[in-house]
Amino acid sequence: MPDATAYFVADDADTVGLASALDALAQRFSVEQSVARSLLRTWLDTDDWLLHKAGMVLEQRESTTDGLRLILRRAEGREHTQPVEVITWPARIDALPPGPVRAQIEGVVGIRALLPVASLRALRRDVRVMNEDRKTVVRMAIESSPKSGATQLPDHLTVSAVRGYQAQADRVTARLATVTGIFAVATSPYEQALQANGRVFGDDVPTPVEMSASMPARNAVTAVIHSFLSTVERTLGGVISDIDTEFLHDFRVAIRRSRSTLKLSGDVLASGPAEQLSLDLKWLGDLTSPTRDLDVYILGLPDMADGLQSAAPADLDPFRDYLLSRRRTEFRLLVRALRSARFRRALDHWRALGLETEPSNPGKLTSAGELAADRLSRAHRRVTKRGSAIGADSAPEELHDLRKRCKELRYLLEIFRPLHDPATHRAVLRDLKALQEVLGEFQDSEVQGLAVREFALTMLSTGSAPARTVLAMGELAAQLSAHQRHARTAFAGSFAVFNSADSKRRFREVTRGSSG
Amino acid sequence: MRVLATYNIKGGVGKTSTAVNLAYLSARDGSRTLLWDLDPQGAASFIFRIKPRVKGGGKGLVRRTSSLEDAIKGTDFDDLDLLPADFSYRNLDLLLDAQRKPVRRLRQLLRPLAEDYDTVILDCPPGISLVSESVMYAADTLLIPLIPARLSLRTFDQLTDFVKALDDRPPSLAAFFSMVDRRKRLHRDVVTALTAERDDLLRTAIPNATAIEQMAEQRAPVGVFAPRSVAAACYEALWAELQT
Repeated sequence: MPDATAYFVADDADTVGLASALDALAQRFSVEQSVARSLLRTWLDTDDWLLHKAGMVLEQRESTTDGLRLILRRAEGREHTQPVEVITWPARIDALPPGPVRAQIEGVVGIRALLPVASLRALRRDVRVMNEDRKTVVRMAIESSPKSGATQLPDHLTVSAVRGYQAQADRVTARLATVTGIFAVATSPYEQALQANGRVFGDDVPTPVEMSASMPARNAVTAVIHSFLSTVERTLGGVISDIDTEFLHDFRVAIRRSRSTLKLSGDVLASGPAEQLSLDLKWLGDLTSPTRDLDVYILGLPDMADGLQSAAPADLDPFRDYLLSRRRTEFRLLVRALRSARFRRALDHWRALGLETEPSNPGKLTSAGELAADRLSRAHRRVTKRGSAIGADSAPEELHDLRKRCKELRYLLEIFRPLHDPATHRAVLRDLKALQEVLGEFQDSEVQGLAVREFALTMLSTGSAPARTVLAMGELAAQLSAHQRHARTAFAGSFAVFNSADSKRRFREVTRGSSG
Repeated sequence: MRVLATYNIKGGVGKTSTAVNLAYLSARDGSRTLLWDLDPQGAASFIFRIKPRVKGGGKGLVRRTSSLEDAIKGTDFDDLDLLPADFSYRNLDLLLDAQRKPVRRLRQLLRPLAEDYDTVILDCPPGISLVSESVMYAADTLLIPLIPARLSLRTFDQLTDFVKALDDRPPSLAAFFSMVDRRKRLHRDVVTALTAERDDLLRTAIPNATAIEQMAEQRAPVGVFAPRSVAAACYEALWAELQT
């Protein structure tokens, strides 16, 4: 199992670089090298780099001698290897056979699919450096990419200490550092291949919008809406290919945020294009809702099944099949719409927003800071006013409405985050999030409970629900009602914290910061 | 983390050969494996070409003044590490005796390794002592190689009674015949009769084979230098039987 690692690359101009490195080592150490073999290395991660964030590197390695293997390297240097049959990437975790690699990563990647993020063809020789007992103390790999390959990297050498033999690895590394024609680098072949493939860690997150309190409000709002557009464009392929459910989730969040931005701050833009885009975004929101709602039910089903008291989890299998079948239908409709001319036009409207020559509505709010302070204060007032009006007898609709107002406030806080003091911003967000969680549980439980009842009726009418499934669905509906009651009880406490003098003081600090 | 330990009161019955070969097979199957050579003679360390030396010795490990993790060495095989023997392990009994709850000490020492290893195999020195009792408290399964003789079975029965009387979660026992010489009629008869008679013995028997003796010359598990040998096949069968 390898310990710490060092990397060297050959100088382009020096054709004997790595060969001379081995000669230099052989003078002082006992060195044995394998015959060269051809490799195809493909590195994998989720779209949001979950493995990288967990300090893991996952590689599929195909070689003429060892076949196809998955190799996982953890942050502390430990490696796990698992032979596999051909896997078609992107793939979700269930596509991986049970084994040590899958066991290590399934809790990390969860519902996200693994995608190839970089690949490299290489001719590789493995080198063992041994001590006087012919015990391997250092492992090295020398790789060169074929000059015709898609990804071109300089010839490179990786030095890995065997656990417990770091001192020997340090001596090897020090010796290699004196060899002309090669030089030490800080990046692994994976990082080099990523760079050559045009990828960087964290490229799923849009570049933060640059915003200052004094910049024109119109420019700030345009930049924010274009940043959401970049998320939509980046996730579109993953939505259409149905790589995993989170592409659609991210796609929808970007749409929803754009819609809210237009609703709450779009008045600083030219009215015609802003209104057109609002209509487009409403259409897109409605279009994506059925598939996303079904995703939420399907993803939540195992947990709900675990909570069944009298029915068995397997009783819900026909319900699951029904949900999957409905999702296939809804997804086909979604993809058709995303390939339509109407969708292309909507994207064109989005791209053109803010670039039009039509004058905007300057009003009194000409700077981003003024706009932020005004809109945040108004949104906060709406939340406190409506929340204060809610009592034990209030209708569920009043809580639903409050949830929407909270979301608007949350989006505004996120949009104008660059203008705020980070610590105060985090504290304000924490108070709001706690309230949103309770309201979310309340509404989601109600909506899902109604949906379960509706699904049960439809399944009964089509004869696709055996009695045991209907009974189990009844238990699910009861579970959801209990969640809703729990959320209703918790509401008063969460709102009291949000509405407290301390929380309001923090909010005033944030809005003061916005205005510069 | 599953802890296996090879144990027999007698020496020279194939404990170390079993520990080394099963550790190799465990790692080959992708299980992150640690072999702890508890025998001060250091035979398992020697086979893996690792010096039988631990910084701070047994005292440091038992008193936790030196870290178990720092003493671990990588072998030449993927997923297989070794905690080497140290000559000071000859005093391990005394060192354990100086601790509170001495028989539970080994289990405590192993606990932090659960994150890093799926399988730990303890290669125990012969004899009955505080070390072997600690091993019984630490292990989930005791692997007991038996020479094919009635007397071996008697010792095994005594061990079974002893383990049952442990005041904690007792390990399961996996006894099997070892060093079986098929040319000896006595060995053949004992193995056939006792395997049929008793249901507490594994079906696999390990032969008295040249390949096993060669491990010390080759300094490698049998599966590395004689993968097609009968001995290698028997260790494979034993490993498979332990998975069921």
